[in-house]
Amino acid sequence: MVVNSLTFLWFFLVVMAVYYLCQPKKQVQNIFLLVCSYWFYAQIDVKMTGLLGVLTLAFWLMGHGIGKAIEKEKERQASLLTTLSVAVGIGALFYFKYLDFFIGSFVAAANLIGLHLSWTTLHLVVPVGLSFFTFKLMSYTLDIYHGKIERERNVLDFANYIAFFPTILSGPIDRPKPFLKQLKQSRLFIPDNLMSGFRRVLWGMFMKMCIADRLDLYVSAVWNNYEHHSASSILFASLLYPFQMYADFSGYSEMAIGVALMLGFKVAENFKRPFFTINIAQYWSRWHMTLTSWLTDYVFMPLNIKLRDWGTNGTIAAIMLNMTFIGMWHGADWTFFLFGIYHGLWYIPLMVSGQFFKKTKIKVNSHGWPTSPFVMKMVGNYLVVTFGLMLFHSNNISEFWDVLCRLPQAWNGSLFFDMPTLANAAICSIALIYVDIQEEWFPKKRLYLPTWAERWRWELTVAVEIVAILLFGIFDSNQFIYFQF
Amino acid sequence: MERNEILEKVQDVFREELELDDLELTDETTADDVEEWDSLSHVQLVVALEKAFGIKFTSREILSWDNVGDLVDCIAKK
Amino acid sequence: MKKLLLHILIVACLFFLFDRSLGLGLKFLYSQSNATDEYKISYSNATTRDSVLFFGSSRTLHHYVPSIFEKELGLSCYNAADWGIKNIYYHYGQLSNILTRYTPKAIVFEIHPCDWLETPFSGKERAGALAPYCGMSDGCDEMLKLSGKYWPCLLSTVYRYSGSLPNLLTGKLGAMDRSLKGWKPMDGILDTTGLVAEEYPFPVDQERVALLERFISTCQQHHIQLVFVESPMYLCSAQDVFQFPRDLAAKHNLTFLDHYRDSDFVGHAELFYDFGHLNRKGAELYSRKLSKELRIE
Repeated sequence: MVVNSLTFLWFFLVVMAVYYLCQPKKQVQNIFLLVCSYWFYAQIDVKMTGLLGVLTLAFWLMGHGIGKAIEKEKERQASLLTTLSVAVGIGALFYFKYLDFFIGSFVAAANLIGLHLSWTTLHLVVPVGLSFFTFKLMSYTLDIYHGKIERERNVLDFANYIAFFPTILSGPIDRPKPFLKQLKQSRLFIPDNLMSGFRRVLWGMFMKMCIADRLDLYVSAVWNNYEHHSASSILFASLLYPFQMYADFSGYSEMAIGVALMLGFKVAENFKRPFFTINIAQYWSRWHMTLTSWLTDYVFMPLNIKLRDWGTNGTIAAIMLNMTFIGMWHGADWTFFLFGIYHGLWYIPLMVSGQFFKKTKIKVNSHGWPTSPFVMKMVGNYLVVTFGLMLFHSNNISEFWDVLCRLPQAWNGSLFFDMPTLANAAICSIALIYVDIQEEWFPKKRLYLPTWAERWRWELTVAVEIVAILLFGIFDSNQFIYFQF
Repeated sequence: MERNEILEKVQDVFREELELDDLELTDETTADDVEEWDSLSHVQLVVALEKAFGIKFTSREILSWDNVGDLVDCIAKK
Repeated sequence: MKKLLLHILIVACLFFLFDRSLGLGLKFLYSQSNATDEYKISYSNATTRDSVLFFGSSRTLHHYVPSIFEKELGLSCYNAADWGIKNIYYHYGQLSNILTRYTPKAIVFEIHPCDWLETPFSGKERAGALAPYCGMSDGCDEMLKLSGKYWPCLLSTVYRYSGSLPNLLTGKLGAMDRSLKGWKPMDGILDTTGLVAEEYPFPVDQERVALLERFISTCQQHHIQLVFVESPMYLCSAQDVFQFPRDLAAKHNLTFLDHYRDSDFVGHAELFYDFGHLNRKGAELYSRKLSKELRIE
């Protein structure tokens, strides 16, 4: 069941109605929410619902143990339990997501040296949302260990944090402290939350259905048949792909955040106009922000601290490892590994030049627009991201290499230009770019409305957005690119 | 060393590392309050503090600080 | 709560206003556009009054030259086909729409395996192309319901033109030459490297068969002479792909002019644009040949 489906709409309307009827009894609301979240997950993946439940209970118990050990100042016990929890989390991820990859790679490597192993891969299906909820589970035990939070006494509240249906499948990856705090309060029926939340859902649907899904028609048509397309088509499709990914994933995050808000929850932001950045460090601070911050806090920081005596080299090592993890988080193939390495390498010039540690202030001209050098750097950064995503998009290394080799071979071919698809996408993309520019460089300005219409701003925007989605949206069922993680 | 002396010395280190001459630190100051203080400069600050006070923190200690007050307490213990 | 309901009510009213007024504009543009889909679907469903209509999907669209048939038959002809692997779900709806306006004398139907087989690449969703004509006829609405688009089309007139705006805005600049009466010629020659014959290893779909039967009986009720045809392929399957329509035609006493394995065309790459479609030269040659075989009473 995807968020932009009619089934979800009915589900959510029923959930909201009952949920707010329960107010102000927050315990009842929380129990109902938990039931809905598990029901929702069971619709997607009924077999793995059990796994979700078991892991949730296991981590709650381990968190309990860690908390008690800290209270009794049993440092070693706390440390062991924390390590165990991380091992369980990584173990689950490894088993479902990476085992087949490692088996396959190991067998291939053994073959290279003449050893023929008869190991077969397990053909495991990755539980939907695994990469997201295991990260939430691990941040819970790690935060207890580092004294950031107290252990959660209420197992149902903890279960709600992990299984929260708007965000379980594709994030944002919330931290335990702010979310658990909200569970302790009744979520009252506040029309403003519903209205703001609904607007975010609509905007997310617009991004996802009108831009991402539409661009995908063209990009997939070219990329999946690259052997028959010209270099210009492949390059054009590759240039569109980062924008498509942005619209897809940011659109999904908007929907998740909007749905959560309609239920009275503020969840973390995940995207902040990532293409308005001039280097890779800035890019990652605005793209999939909850993943970046998770890895920064739980991987990069501890590593950087451990290696702090190596100076800049220590930071570089920490960055490279961190970015490798970011790459591998996305998938089990060498393409993702190299994707991470590629991004890590782009940090090195920043660190060596000292730019990494400075916050660059945007330079604007007298009209408030950024200067040409700044815009050129933005374009350059987009190109850096584009190349990395070509790796990301490829099914495997040999396909990536094939695509690269095709480029010089197919220079004389004509550009495949599917006018209706690209024109539809262009119209909607212009709207998105306009909104992003306004929010980034002119945040105090709003879209002009005559004074008499100003009080109907919400209604007008919503009505126009619904019409736009109906006019430009792709309505076939489609999975978000990030579901496979 | 007195606690408020530690705080003052910490403030000097912060001012030098973050290049913020007017920075005022209190026990309640957190990274959110200081624009230049993020996860990257955090480690630089730690290294500078270790050098300035001639001490070594454990990773666990560093990761447990929520605000400047925690940091100062940690130094005071050493 | 009351305030929220008021906000929702205002949204509903505004939506209705925007949707209906924009829908009217899009409806007008739809009838004017020369983009392939928009022109073919609108002209076939809502405008044509020609005596002989050619039904089918892209093979029909590219293969049947109305001017050649008009000369030979002395009757006005229109190529009412559209590309996009349109199948019986679409054709039945289109026929229902046409019959609300007039009764053609004859329908020449290029039947395709997706009209009776459970093909995964072409199913009920093809009837979705009839969206702009929601409400025009019961048959059309029935097909739209099968495609799942009926209720959204009823609620929103804009939705009926979803994805069409660029084509609607191009207006007269679209690809179709109206003087060709619905035919879309293709210029180019087939590249034969690595070609294999198309196979259809799919089970029979009883729903589609039932619709085909209804299509036939509707034509019979309205005294429309229905002729099944099959145009040539560059490479033919070894299987008897068209046994089913042959039996169906025999059952209902219909003529089936089968040129699938016509040696004048099979293997002649210079007559084909791609593996499934004749080029301009091939279409004219085929139309001339078939027009002499067609007997329209």
